Amino acid sequence: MTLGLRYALREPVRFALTAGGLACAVTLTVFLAGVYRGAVHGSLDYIAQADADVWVGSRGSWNLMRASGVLRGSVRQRILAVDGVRAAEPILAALVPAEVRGERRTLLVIGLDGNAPAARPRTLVTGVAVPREEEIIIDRAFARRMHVWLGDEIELAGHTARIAGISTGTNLLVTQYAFASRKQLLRRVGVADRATFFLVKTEPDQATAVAAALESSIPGIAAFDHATFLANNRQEIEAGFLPVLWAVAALGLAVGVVVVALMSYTAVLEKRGDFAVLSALGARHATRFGVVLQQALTAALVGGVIGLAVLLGLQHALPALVPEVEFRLDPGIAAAALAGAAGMATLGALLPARLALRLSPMEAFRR
Amino acid sequence: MTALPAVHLRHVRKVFPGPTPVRALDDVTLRVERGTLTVVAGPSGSGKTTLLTVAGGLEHPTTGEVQVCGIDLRALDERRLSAFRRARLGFVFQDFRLIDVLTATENVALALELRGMRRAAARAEARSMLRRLGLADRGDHRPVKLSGGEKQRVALARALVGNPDLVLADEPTANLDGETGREIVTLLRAATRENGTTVLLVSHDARVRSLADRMVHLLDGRLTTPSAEEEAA
Repeated sequence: MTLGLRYALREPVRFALTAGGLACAVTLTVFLAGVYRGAVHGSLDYIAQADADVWVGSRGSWNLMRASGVLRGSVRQRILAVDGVRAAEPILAALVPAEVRGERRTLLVIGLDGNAPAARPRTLVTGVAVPREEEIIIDRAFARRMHVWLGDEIELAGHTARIAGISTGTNLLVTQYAFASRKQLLRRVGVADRATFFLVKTEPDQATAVAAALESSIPGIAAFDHATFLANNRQEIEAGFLPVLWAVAALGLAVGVVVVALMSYTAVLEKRGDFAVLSALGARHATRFGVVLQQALTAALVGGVIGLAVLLGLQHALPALVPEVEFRLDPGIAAAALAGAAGMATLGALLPARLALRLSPMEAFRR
Repeated sequence: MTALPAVHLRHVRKVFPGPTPVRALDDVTLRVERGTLTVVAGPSGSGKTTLLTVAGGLEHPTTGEVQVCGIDLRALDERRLSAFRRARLGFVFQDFRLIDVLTATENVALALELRGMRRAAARAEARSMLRRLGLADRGDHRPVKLSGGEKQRVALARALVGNPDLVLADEPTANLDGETGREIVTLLRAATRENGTTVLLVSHDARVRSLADRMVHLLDGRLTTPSAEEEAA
């Protein structure tokens, strides 16, 4: 029976408003989820792809984004002295002001040593992965935001650096990774030989044991195997993002549910005579519930498709408008959006359906 | 052996509670034989519609027994009552009560689809029923495009399609002119003769009385013209 569909299309303005409300809810929720995914990727891809088995930092430094201390460069020798360690590569992470044509941003600059086989960025759009003196590798989102590209110059902590490479997977949303020479970075931040982390290569399958050995033999350090360090960073991201994301997503979903509930409730009230007739004719509960649900799901389908169309547009427009925000609409997100819309419709239809089921068939006899 | 009646009410009382309780039916005993057209007459507020809804299992009596087609309706829960109405009863309402987003054919087919018949078969049967009632060319029209008489014939088709045992008609001629009203009752009359359908029709329209097999009067919830048999029951 297509009664619900007919009711839905009978009032095109109400239907359009409902579908529009659902489209907004879907767009808001899915967009935030997509941005979150983009931010997680941007934050973690660099760490995930680093060629390190163990990350060693100062005690209390448990993730890269909010490292709380630095180690002396000489710690490298002590790390190399521990059994099972094959190599140790220092990096210096520092938030550094960057300026292009008077516009200022802050970059999380990773200072690299030599060829930096462990710590250099892995995914390049163009240029080189290892900067020389006076060079910098920047993220593509930062390049787009500041309208700079390979060969251009930026001011980094008051000094000029030439862009030698553009990377991706290095966008933290609120800031971006950049890569410079560690020696040069040390000079610019005005400290002696220091490192925020050492990226340690171990003998095969020795990471956990080496991490423990490092912590016990070198005072004042913290050592994490790669998986633990990645999880630490994910936790840092989630702690910052997820509460806000959940709150806004919950609001979006609630708005969608309320919009559907309002539409369905009004429709049931308007058609209470029809529902009474259906009841008098012996329509099953499932049939009457289905009529209400069908109306809501029709609006959900249309709203979901509109929402996806808006998201598709956003995906294309965002790189130019807000390059820091990375949003990709993949089939999984699209399916989740439609499922979310259907979920909102089902929840929104529950109360009106309850009303429809409770309407007395006696109403059909009222004049 | 006496055949079971289509409707058998025994000492039925129906009281609507409230600050001033309303006694809509008061010790009503009524036996309606199968294949007959019985008219329940009486002034407004006499309990006619309540009698119809009690007989149709839409309301439970406060006291008394209600048997329809041999089934004690008091023993059925809501789900079974719905199934009973779906399978055995047809309804005709004063205000037609057609669903305005459906065509005439779809309105008629609805009764069959609710019984579980597939859509195509239900529509074919609905079209056939509309043809029998002289509405062959109106099947694709929505109710808003139909005259009052046509609407009531569509409602009649919805009630009769699928050959229910009992049709309960509430003032089916009230909103129709005399000729059309008579036409509707004639069609109901024909259904009793051709299909053995029992019709219990509520009306205070004197014009329908000549077509009835039997007529009973209600006044203030009490039957004033019970048969001897019912008095003895």
